[in-house]
Amino acid sequence: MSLIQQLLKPAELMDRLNRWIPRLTMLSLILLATGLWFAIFASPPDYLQGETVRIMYIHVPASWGALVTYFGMAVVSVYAFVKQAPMAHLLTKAMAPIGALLCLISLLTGAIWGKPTWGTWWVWDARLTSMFVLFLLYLGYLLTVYQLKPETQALKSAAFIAIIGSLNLPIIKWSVTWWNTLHQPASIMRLDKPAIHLDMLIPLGIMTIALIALCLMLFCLNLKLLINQQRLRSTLMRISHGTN
Amino acid sequence: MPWRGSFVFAADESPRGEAPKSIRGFSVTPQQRKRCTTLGFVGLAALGFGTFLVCALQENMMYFVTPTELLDHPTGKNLRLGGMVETGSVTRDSNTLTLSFQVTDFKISQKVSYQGITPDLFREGQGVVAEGSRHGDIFIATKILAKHDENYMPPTIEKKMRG
Repeated sequence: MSLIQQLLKPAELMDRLNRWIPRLTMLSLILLATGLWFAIFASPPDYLQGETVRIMYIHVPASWGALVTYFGMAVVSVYAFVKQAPMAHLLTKAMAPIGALLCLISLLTGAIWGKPTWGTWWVWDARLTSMFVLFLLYLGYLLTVYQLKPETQALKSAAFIAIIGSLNLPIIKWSVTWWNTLHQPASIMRLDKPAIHLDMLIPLGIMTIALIALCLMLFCLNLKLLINQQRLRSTLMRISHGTN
Repeated sequence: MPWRGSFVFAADESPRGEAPKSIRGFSVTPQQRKRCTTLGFVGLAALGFGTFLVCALQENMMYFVTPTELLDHPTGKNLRLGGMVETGSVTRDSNTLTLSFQVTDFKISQKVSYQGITPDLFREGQGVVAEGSRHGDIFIATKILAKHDENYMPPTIEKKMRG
């Protein structure tokens, strides 16, 4: 059995999840507390934006998270489609609500940040529009897997939303480079050295790791839930077939 | 448990009993390879379509035009002008309260006139996006948005940089 198959064996997977959830919870709490303390108290204001810049410590990790999660969903969906592996579809389904929430947080915190800085809550420039499209893709995926019946078919169809929709990801990333946008270009994810001072970069790094830990914990919780739902469904089916 | 194994990897064994081809532990059966190829073609087609769409809609994707590009558009057309606010160009008429400033793309300079409140971050040496229309030499703006760059630093560092 390959490494991936070893990792996804249901009984061992559940054990692994049960061990990691409390660890990740502790880790997230510590990292979030540290990160937020740095973000709110132990970091300087910006020379131009003043205290408003502190929204960055939530907006940026959430935005990165939304992109990385969707990419993860696409990669796992490719595996699920090629290998025809139902468990991999379940992994994707477990990631989706978390990514959607991160995307929503990005859009909302971005709007809150935009009003005092740019002077508007929203513009339809390339960056904001493509992030909005990402949110719609997440919603499309979630509606498909939670509403369409039968579920096995819904998961297979939704996998294509994840795979084809991932073409939006490079558009989001390079929207600020390819086109004139109100949103400024990248400060960190670029070939140059970071355009953000170390006193702000460090808290941003802590908040990013904190959010990763939190989302991994939520992912484990959600996956546990979905696996248990599958078990319940197949047990009920066996019982109902048994009595017929 | 009835759902173990068979639920997870139902189709990994080929019905004809063919051994999957293996590269360092990751193996694909012939059907899986076929699915890979199908996915590759679909992905390529989507990429091609996406690229075409993006290229075709280039002008619509631009949120604003630069002062140089502005002159390519007819006067009176409602659009957004973006650029840098020239240092020393911002004045406010004390009678009419009209704001005047120059927007530059470091090639040419465009005079802008605006009645109203500007965002806090609107200032000389920073970016601006003005919505409105050009009438002759002057761009009459109906809305001003401040555009900031990607640099973030504490006030003390910025003071040191300014010298």
